[in-house]
Amino acid sequence: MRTLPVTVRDGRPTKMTWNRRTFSVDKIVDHWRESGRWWEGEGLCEFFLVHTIRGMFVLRFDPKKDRWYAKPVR
Amino acid sequence: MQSQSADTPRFVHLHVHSEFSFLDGASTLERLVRCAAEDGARALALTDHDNLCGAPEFVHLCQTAGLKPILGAELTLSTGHVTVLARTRKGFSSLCRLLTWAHLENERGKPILDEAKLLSYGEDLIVLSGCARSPLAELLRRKRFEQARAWVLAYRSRFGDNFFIELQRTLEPKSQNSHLISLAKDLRIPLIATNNVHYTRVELAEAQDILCCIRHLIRVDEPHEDRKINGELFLKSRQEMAELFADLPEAIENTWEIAARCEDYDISEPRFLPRFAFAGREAAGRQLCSLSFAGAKERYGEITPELKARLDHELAIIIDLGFADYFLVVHDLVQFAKRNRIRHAGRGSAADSAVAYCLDITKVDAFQRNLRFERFINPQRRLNLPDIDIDFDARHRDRVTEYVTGRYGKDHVATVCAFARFRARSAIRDVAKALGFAVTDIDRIAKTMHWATSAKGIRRAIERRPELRALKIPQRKFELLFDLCETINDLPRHISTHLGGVVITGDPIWEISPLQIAAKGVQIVQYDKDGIEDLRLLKLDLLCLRMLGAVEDSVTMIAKRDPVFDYDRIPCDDEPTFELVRSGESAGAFQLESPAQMSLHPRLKTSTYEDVVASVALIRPGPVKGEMVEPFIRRRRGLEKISSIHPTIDKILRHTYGVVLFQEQVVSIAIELAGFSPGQADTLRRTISHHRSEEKMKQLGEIFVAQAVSNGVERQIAQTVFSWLEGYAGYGFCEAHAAAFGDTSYRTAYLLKHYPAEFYAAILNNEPMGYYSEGTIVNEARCRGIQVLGLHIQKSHQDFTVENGAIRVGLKQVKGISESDLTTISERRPFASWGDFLQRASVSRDVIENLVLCGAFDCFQTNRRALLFSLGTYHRNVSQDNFLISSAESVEENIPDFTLYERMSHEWDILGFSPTSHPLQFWRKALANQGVFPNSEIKRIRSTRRLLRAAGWIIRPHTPPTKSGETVVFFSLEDETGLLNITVFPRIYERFGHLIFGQPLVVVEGHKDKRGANSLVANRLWKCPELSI
Repeated sequence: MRTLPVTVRDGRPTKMTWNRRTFSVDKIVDHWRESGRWWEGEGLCEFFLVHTIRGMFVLRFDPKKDRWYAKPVR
Repeated sequence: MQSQSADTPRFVHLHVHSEFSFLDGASTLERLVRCAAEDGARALALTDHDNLCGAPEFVHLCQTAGLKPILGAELTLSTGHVTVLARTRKGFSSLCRLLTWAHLENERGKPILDEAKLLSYGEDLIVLSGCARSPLAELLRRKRFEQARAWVLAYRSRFGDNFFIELQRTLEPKSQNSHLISLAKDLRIPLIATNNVHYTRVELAEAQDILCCIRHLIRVDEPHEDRKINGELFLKSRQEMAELFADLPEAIENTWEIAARCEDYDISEPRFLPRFAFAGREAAGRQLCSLSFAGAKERYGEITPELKARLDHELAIIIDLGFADYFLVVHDLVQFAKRNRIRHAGRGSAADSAVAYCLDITKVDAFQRNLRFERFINPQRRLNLPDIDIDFDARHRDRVTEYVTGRYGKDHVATVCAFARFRARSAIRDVAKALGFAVTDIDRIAKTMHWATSAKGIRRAIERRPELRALKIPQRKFELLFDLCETINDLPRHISTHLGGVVITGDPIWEISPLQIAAKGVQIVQYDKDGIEDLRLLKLDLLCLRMLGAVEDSVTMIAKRDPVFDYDRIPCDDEPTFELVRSGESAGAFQLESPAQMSLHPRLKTSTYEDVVASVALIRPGPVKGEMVEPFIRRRRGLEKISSIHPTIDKILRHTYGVVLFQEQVVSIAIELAGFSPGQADTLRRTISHHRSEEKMKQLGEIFVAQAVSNGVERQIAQTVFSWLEGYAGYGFCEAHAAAFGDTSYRTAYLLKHYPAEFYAAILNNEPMGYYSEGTIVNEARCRGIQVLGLHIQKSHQDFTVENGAIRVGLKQVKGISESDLTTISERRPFASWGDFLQRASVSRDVIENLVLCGAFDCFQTNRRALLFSLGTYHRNVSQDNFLISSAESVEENIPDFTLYERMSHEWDILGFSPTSHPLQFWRKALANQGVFPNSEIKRIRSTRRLLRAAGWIIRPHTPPTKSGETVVFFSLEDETGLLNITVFPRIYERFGHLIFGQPLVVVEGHKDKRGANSLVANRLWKCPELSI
């Protein structure tokens, strides 16, 4: 997964930048949380499966690092 | 239910898993109820996986907290999970029946309910469509929308407006909620919001995940579909749930509607007692009276007016409380035991009853001992059935259980369950394995924990115990282990079988509790003994006591040389028996063989039956911790004056020398000094014993003193007496139980004194008895001058026997010998020779070798090595079809035999002991050169100033609780001359504790105990050095 800037409103992503292009999130298809490898100290992460003009992406937000990550879904 | 204010969300959690969703729910019932109550909830449901184990406790907790309890379960169908709630009492019975089918019709531990049965027999249930693992969710995931629709319609058709579609917003991927909402709206099925609760707080999610890993035997880094991916399954507040479903307020409101629809029913109605074969309470009462007085005539000969008054008093209470049937049930099964010569003895508070004595349920004469009946049955606790525990000869206990099942029917009898809970050792093993610790590491830590240590004590235990500090545990990695172990401490791990509890019901048992099969193969109810008591079900404790088997075998053997001996008529004032007990050499005698007991009696100068009874009560954690033992000893021996405080108190405490030792004495003091009614007095006792809040004790004290003063007692005396009750009553023991056990203790000590060969042979035949190994018992017998004869192929029976005053080792003792080997040998002997045996006894070569090495053929040839060589030759010849009897007979004489030490080693290896030798005797000379004395000599030495050394094996080290919390260790040290008791005080334990629990063979240096116990108080210990023979 790659880190990337994401615009957020009410805790939900509305825009993302990928390959230097910024585009809107059309629809949040799914939203879930994962505890991660808690036994190794990993924290809770938020996941969004989003539909954009560039295709589907899984976005992950790590509150500990305050960072967003993305992976395209084929 | 009462309505709430307009802005308070009307939400009730209706899908909740407690600790009884084994290895899945991470919160106790108590915490769940408390959390719900603190949130202002008015009701709470319990829906554990396929069981109602928590139902009795849940109902009680909810009622105490002011919540309405809603009972249900998450049922496993072949297609997934559905949640059901019992709307009425009939619905509860219906649920019990469904769960019973689920368990009994499938493999143990994998209950699955046939969906057709739910639809056909689910009376008075409210059904929720289930979580993400429901049949409906699965159909939607597979996009089988028509089938999903059909499923919903089928359930609506069956359950009408008691069927709801369940929605959970727990932030898991691929949720089917949008489809569920569409379906609900389309078909006009009401929606309901739940949270699939598995714990109270989000912080417990990790513990829940570990439990899941333990359940599936996987490590934390291995995936599994059952593992929850986040920590959302906590008991969210009503506000949180309302916000989560802000777009669907009806899903929240419907939970309230469901809760209101569920009736307030009682699952503990007292209608479950079996009727004994007579209709009506009066008939049962008459029968009980008749049997009691017939029994009294047999016991006492003459029924005095005082005895009649006592029996009338007890019978009136028993009949009035409706317990006559209970006594008749117990009497009936005791008669079965008697008819079938199954030795038995009632124990516990039942021995407070003269009726129980006359019915031969117990062996304690409650009338003669003036024991308080109210300690057994308190008339003020009308709703609680009595609890009668009976020990049976362990070999025959199951026959008694089978009799009960046959008598009342399979549908009315089941075994009580028990919940195996996480303690330190089990928690460490399971959690460490799930966290991926190495097996050797897990073993090292777990073995250093006492089995009963709480998991909360692991950290402290490691800090305080030198044998654990020596492990040098790396800190970081173990923090997680300790935290998780502490979190799951005391959670039930799995359901198992209660040791002897059996429930008998009037109504079919599956209307009261679901049934399932335990690992032992018996049918169990899903309630443990506390649940049974809450539901007021009739329970019997049919326990195993191996000592009763040893007694029975002793009596059989004794009868061969003393046909008039009657165990039940042993005199209670036999001085040689007391002399034995006083000597501290009572290994083998029931309850008198621990190091603590054997240290007590020389100091107590035991000389009466009552001293033995008192000792059973004294050597318990309570009195030891309460420091009652020393005052008792001093007063018993006249070393301390027993101050007279009041004639009533003097009379009650006379037989315990002014010490409040027994719970019955608390009851008597409350009645006779403060004028309490018997029921009130027992309530006082229970309150003092169990509920020790300062406020409560203060209130009780005021009542006691006020009533005593109004009874003419001086205020200061009343206050002093109450302070005694406060101080001692928490540690007091039930006198009836002490008397019941004490009786067996005294009688077995009598057997040990007068018939030691028979008694020790009987103990060996009933091993494992729990305390000493066979090797120690054989050694003790030898030390008493009883010859122990080795195996003899012609003379040894299967079991140990007595032969002209000596103990003959039995063939069963040989490692690897089978039933058919024993039968073959028994049927085909006598054998003319070694060769004759080889030809005619078709016994495996391994077993023959073992027999040779144990000396079974010494009667033919004493050179055991030569016999083994001959055996090898014989088998080669047989395999080559070249057998000649002469080759078997000819034993090579020139082969040097095993040394004495080697012979002894073989015997130890194969029998667990040597009939004639002890390993320490081979090292005695070397030990003597190091200043070590044999134990027998140390016991003869009186001086307490002389520094002495003893060496031997450590037997049964234990650490009873002390008032200071410091660790004192007691153990026995065994050498070839017998046992020596060793005491290790805290300072010495700190330095040498790792040897006590880590080394079998040690040298102990110390002084004789100044208190008069024939034991050594250790100054230091060291590992026994390598010694050559």
